[in-house]
Amino acid sequence: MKKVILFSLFISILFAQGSISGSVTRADNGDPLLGVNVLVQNTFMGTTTDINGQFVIDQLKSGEYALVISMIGFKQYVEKGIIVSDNIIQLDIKLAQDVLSAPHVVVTASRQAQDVMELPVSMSVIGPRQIRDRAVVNLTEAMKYEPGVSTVRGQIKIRGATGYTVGTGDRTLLMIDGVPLLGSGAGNITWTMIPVSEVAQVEIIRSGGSALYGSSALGGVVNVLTKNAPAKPETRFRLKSGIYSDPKYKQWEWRSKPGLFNYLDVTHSRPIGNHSGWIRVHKAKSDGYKRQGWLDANNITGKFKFNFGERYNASVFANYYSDDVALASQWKNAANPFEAPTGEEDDHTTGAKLHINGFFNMILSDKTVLKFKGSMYDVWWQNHSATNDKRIDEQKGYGELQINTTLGQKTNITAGLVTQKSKIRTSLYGDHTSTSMAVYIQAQQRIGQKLTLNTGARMETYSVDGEKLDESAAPQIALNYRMLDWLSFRSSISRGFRVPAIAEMYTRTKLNIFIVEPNPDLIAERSQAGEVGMTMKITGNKWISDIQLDVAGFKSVFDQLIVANPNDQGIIHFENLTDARISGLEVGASGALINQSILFSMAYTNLNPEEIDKEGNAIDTLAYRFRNTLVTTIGTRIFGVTASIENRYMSQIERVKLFQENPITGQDKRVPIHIWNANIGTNIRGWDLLFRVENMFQYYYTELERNMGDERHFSLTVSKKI
Amino acid sequence: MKTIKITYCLLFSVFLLWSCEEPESLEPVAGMEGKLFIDGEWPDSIKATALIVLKTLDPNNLEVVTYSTPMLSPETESEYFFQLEPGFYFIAGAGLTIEPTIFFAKIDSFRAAGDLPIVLLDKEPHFQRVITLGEQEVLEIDQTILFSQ
Repeated sequence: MKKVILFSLFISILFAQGSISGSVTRADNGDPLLGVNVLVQNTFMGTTTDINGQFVIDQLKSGEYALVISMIGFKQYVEKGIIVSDNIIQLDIKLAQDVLSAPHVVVTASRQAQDVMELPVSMSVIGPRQIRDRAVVNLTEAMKYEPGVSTVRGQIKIRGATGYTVGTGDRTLLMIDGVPLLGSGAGNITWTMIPVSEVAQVEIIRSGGSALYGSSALGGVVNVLTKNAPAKPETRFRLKSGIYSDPKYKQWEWRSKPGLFNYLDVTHSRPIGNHSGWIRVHKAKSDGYKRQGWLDANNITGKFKFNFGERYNASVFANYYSDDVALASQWKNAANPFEAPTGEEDDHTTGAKLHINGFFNMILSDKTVLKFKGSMYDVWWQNHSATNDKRIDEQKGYGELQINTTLGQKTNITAGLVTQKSKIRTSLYGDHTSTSMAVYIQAQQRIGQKLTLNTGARMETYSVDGEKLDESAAPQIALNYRMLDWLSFRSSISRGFRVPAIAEMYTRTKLNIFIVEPNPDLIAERSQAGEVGMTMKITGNKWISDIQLDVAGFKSVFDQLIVANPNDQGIIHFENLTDARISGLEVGASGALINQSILFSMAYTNLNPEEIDKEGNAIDTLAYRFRNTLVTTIGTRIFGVTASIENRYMSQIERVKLFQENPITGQDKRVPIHIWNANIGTNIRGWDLLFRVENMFQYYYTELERNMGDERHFSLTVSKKI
Repeated sequence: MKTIKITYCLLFSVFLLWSCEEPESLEPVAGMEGKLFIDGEWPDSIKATALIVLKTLDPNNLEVVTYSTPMLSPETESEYFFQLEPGFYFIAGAGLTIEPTIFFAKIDSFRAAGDLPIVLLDKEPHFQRVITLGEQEVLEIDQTILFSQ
């Protein structure tokens, strides 16, 4: 009998399952916090808090656990030494606000919540503080402060994967809440559609993401996570108004009165029963810093989150954007760099975009979640120009079924099916349809306490007008070794691909003296990429704290890269022209000094972008890439006043495609970019005020040939939460 | 840990100093701008015209410094702009005997062969042939090319 009792006890201990539940509230006022990430350290188990700040993690085997609780804008809290047997552990956690801290948890790198110290690939994370402190109205303004990221005339490039293509063939995938927003016709990104004031977090995968996200993620992924409504009704208001300086040189003056700009956001959010939502209205109007730089745009966005009990939740995001924007090709000439060429002074484009996406989550068990995602995207625009009155009308539908399951506590499997269909009607490249189907799987395996192995692959087929154009597989293997709580190493190798955009295959148009003709024989471009990296996060002491250092070395080889290429008759075709190799180094660092009164950050990127022959020998430099980029910021927060100075340095672009520098006349001279920005802000009676000056020393440069970079401008941003 | 912090601060300082490198902002340029008019009927042999800037007027050694965007037959008016270093230059009208797109696509091979498909149009009666440019000076001069009636 005694033996039976002992055996039963042993069995009950071996198979005992307990749970941890609790609530998370704000330390300052006790309000419950919705959407707090609660992760069981060294496992794949975790959850988020509900509208009452409550959470439950079930089916934990007997043992000792640590719980990591984090949310943007709050200090990360770790509860260690939680002993679980067949009991229920109740925790009441209070999170202290911390405006300085960077986000601790991300979701893009492996399609599930993950500690940034355990990432298998290089990733940058932008929180609301970086957006607010720079009074950002276009997300690219915040992203160019991250290592590995640069922009040319608004087109983002990650690790130099994209050069410059006029509105087509982007190699970066943009997602909103995990659903792609890329237009499939031109393959370009519409940054202006993003409701910047309602962004909770931006996650940038810098090392290519085809294994999980397919074509277009060849050069990286930008996933914009929008805010959920807080637990109490709230109305937020933000107005950014400003003025452009006149050019420093009298010869360049071009208008009689100063150029102005205004950006207004009003958002109302509230819980509605168990559900919650927000709606935002945005108006943008700018005279621009050059003749063809004006903009007039309207945007209405809403997000509603539904909670149908403990097992089901859903979200719908809708965004309508319309604009009337100046159409600019190049400056009039080097003597009049802010004016438009004769005859192009009134060229403009009108358009509208509607984007609706949503997901429905079914929690099948404590370890398995089924997620349905869907989106539709409708775009039309029309050029109004004497030489080009092209129009485009495109509809895109997207559907995805994803399953995420945890096997034991050490293995996590994510798999999914994706389908996408586009229909395009345009006078620019004809009427076409495209279809893609994909299947992906990724496994994360914890090996011991410190090592995580990620393996995954994606298979995708792509058809245009009913004919199969490409079938690709993109595998990836990645490792993370968390040597210490504050130090981790990572390494990955992967393959990627990008199918040609319909615009690259079928565009027929005239551009100045050049003629663009279609090339339906284009094939997909492919890449092999590898990287090693290190992340260090040290809490520190009162003198030096919040230290974060991220270093990565990388190398990517591209086959059959698609570029616009003029032939002997001056006719441009998009062609699989070249092979390329880009290697480099990224360093990102940030920290605080003296009780967080002085803040600093920097991002450095070194690229070696080469065109190579079939034997791998370098034959030229890739066009439109910056070899060195350095961004530094130093700021202070004393007596309720914040102030900072930023410097952005980019070395001179070594090679361009259209207008080469003429050493005899000095025409089309290119220079390095040195931009200094500064801002100062405070809060007066609940009103946040931020005064900012960009390009304060009026540095003049061209990112793209014959297009002057931003003129100095001053802005005042006023925001209030009611 | 202390070594890591010191190394970190030193690394940051080095990058900060580097970002203070002497800048090289673009500045106003020197050059010549205006309108180019065609007077008369375009000959069949000329596909495009342009103004060219020369260092010398030696017909056996035409040293072309730069040229304006070509005006295509049968246009009669266009704007032009030359960016030039300060100095002394000769201006001439030139006719292109092949299509400009072909010319610009093959300009290197034409230069290598020493046989440019260009003819000088030097019969203009009211043509300013010589200019002197100072620092950041842009001259505004309209020019007319006269084709034989």
